[in-house]
Amino acid sequence: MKESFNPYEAGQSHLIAGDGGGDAIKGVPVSEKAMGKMFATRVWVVIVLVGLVVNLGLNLYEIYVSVSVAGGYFFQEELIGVFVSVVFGVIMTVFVARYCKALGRFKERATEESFERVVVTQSKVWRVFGVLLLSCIVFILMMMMVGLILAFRV
Amino acid sequence: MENPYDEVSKSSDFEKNMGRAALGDFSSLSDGLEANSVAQAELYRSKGWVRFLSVICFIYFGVMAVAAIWVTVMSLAVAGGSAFFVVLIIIVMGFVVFRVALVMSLISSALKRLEGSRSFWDLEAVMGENLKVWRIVGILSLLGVVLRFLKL
Repeated sequence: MKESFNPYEAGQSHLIAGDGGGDAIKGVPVSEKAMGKMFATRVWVVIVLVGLVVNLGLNLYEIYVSVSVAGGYFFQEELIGVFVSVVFGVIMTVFVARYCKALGRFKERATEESFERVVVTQSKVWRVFGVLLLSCIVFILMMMMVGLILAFRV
Repeated sequence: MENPYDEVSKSSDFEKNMGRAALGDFSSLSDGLEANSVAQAELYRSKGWVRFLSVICFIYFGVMAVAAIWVTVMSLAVAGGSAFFVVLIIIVMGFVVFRVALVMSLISSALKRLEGSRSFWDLEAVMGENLKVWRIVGILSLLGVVLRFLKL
């Protein structure tokens, strides 16, 4: 039997959303406002993607200049730092590009599948950013420890 | 068109949606488009990572606040307050980091609310905060590229 909706009672939002209640995961309606916000997000995601690609190119150029042109300008630790940032940059660029592509498809054709794709890629972007941030912290701590060990050895 | 004299349209988003829903107005909903169980599961799964990013940003903001105080004190004690520009840059960066941390925290809270309510306005809130984060990151990205080129 369908439950009745009482606007003055708390905890009735599942009825307002129109899913009829129940334990199974039912769909959440996507409003036009939410869709508009997702379309607007795409512009900024494209800008972030361009920024990532430009930074990646500049980092690669820096490595090229330091290794081949300047004949080893970087100290080994600095080179490791730039190399790690290139690897992180490539990973971030790939995931942000996928998110951007999914948003583009959703803008072209707003279907349940394209929405799902956007949410899945968005979730992956947050996960990858989190993992990379964790790796960064571990990497910085490791570099500090190596530096300390080397300093005490000398 | 929005009526400026209508009490419902003048209230906050939440109150507006409650009012709309109570009146049975679902006109802003798109035709049949729904977040299915897979999309919802992915959204709820990302909640922890978003919270983690927010916490890291808050810690970073704390570190920057301590750094700003430290530089100010040292500058006043040793150099007679000449490091004002450096302190200003740290404060501006700290404000940006705090804003990102706050918005990430709001996304996480909105996701938690969405998990409980499964209502369309909580999904709207998630997408709205998501837009804010990408806007800030986009502006920072543009600024970063300009600074990189200036450095070259």
